[in-house]
Amino acid sequence: MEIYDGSGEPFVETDAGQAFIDLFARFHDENKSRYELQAKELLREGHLLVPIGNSILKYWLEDEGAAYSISHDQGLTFSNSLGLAPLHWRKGLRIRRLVEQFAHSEARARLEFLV
Amino acid sequence: MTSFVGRDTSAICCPMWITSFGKDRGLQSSSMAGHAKLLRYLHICLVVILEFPFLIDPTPVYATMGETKAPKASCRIEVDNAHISSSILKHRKTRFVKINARSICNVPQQRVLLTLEIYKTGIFGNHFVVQFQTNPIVASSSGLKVEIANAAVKCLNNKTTRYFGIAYSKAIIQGAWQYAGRTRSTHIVPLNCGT
Repeated sequence: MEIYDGSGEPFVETDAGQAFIDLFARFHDENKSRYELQAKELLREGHLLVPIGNSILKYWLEDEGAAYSISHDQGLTFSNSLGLAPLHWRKGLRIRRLVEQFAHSEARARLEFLV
Repeated sequence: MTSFVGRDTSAICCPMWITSFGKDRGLQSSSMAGHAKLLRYLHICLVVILEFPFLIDPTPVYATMGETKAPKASCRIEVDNAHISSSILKHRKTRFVKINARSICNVPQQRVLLTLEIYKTGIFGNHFVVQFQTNPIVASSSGLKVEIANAAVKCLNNKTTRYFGIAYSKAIIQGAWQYAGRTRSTHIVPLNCGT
């Protein structure tokens, strides 16, 4: 799909890239209420485990940001930090960023790690 | 180089030279000058083969297959410029700023840990937006090309913002850990996407 982005050059997204963006957007919209609950719990507890299929996504707070990793062995071992997003000092923007982080990580887990 | 291979090549070389000489118009006459010229060429041919065998690469490909060293690794990191990507799903016209990055090598790379950071420019310097990493233990993190193609951040508004990406990596290449320094997008791109 060719999109004009304001930079003066159209960009053609690859099929894989477009599939990810579509899933990311779908998860963001469909699971928003669950993600908001998760975000509040993460901000309160500092860490969070979310089972996705046969895998587990782990989220934690570090250095004024939120990171996540994935486990494929029921939580025995986790991957390196796959994503890190800084969090705003305003709570509303913190939750908004965390909702995005949850949607991104689940879309990535679904497509990249085939969970 | 073995002497067998050298002999084999000279046998190929001389007829080739004679053949090319045979196309020379000077040979079409049977004058003495032509014969002298032919002898002179044959003499040069023999001298070259006997005295300078290394000038003619005599080793056929199959003879060197067991002796070749591993090719020198030539690897690089590419970071695309930021661009807008949009969901094409019905009723979900969400826009994202997106940057792709890849580690490319001419030899297999394993356990690639490719890190991509997205930044936006600001009045008091650059602001860190988000960081993504590959998972080195999965199959997609090995091979000649390892890519991050899902580094995206949702646009909050249409405010023009300038973005760029920085990537760096480490990987096992030819049995040893290799590190690639920080590589930046070629352009800082203004996009109608505030984050």
